[in-house]
Amino acid sequence: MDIQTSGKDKKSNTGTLSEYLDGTKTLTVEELSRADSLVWELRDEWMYRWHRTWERGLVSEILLFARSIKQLGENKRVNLLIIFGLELEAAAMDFDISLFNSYLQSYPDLIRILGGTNGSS
Amino acid sequence: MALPEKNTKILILDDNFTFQKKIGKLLWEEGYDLSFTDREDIFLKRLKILSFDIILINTGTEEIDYNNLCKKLCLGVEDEIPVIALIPPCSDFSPAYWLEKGLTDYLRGTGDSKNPWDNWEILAKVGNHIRFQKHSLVLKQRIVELEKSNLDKDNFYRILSHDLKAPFQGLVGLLEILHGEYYTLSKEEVQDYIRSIHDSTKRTYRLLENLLEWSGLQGGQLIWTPEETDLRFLVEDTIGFFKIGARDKKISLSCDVKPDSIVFTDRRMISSVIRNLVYNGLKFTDMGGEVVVRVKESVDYFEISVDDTGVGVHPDNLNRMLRSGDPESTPGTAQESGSGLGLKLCRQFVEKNGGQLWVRSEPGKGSSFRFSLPKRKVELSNIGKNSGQLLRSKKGKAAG
Repeated sequence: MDIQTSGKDKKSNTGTLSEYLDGTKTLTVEELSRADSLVWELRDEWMYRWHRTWERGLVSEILLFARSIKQLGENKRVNLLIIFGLELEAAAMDFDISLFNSYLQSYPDLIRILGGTNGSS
Repeated sequence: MALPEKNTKILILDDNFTFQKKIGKLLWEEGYDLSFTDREDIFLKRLKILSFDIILINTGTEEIDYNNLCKKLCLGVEDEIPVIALIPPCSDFSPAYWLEKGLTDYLRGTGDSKNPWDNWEILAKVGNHIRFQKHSLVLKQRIVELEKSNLDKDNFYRILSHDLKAPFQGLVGLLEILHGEYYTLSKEEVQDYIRSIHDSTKRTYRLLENLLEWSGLQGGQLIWTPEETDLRFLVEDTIGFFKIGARDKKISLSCDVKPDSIVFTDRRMISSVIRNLVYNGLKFTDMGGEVVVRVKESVDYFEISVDDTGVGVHPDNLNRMLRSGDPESTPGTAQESGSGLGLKLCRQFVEKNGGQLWVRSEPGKGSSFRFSLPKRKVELSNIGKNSGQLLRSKKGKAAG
């Protein structure tokens, strides 16, 4: 079972967001196949939500975005989305503005990875 | 961690991430929602796209053009939002400097790197300013409501005089004839005039009674009280006021309404609309002309039209009439005066009853003032939502 459901301790088994972003950790074929059906949605409806959250920068909306995307990841069994949601939520709750801004900013890269078009993977 | 309950949004300009974490935690735990940035352009953009309740600016934030920022904060719509300057202890600028720039208040840094700002002071100042701002908004809202209420009352009294003027003009005219020509008139003619005066006085008295009853409601505020209304009866009854005036001006005044045209509407308001439109029709129609009130029925609504063969309205004047600003009056073909309120009043009443009012007019050919009344029962909450859009001009078409 490669799906992380909760807790940071499990993250080490599945990789961190930074590892996915820098290409140290890559998606499995199964993950890519499951993510494939989501990419369109992530580029369209979720991109709009992300853009709104990014523009307004409200902590409440960042938390909501993080929790919703984590939920989406859990529903669709896409680990990278769960990790993104968890780490973004943790950064927002810690008021680590630099970190949650950098996580938020990485959302388009996330879609590229899930779509299998990340240069480094 | 729960989401903030107060829904009070704070925009914070600060480039020190350690400070941000401390202030963020402190304010979030108090239930405020926060938006942080260290860039001037993002700060100003967020102000444009989102309504914040208070702004905190760390005046030690680098690469900020404070002159430009303060100018924009104090001149734009943002000048309503309290702005607190967070002044680091090492700052070259005094609190007075920032207050002179137009910021609302300030907080001086403690000089302690672990606790750069006094938490209690931050919470107290933010809380106070938000309270002041909310009170100020309530006061502004009350002022707007009071001004509107005052205007409604003014309008009401002007309407009162406007509606009473027409029947009295008719009465005065008849009495002048009786007074001047009493000895030359036959007994039958005198009786005829007296009957007319009696009928007109009764109608005027009823109108006065209605208006006074109306004024008693909610201290002059007009309350929508719909009831099933027979349009034929309403039109015939209403134009009865103008029979004498029409006869004097030798204008044919008639109506064309099918029986059982039943509509759920405020009878008094619609009677007033018809009264005003007929009054205008007679006012702007020359001797020998015609004014007709018609009611057409369609699936969803009744359309009531008051058509005249009068002087018509020039497109420029039509535009002026349709504007919702101060009403202006134009003298009639026999120099009849008016308050200019009639159309404004008609529009308001038709809107209150869920309908629309529009006009077709051509100079020299006449005008057709029309309004619709929905057949279905209109919910009170839906009324007046399209205020300002309902009086529509349909230019370039001749009057009916």
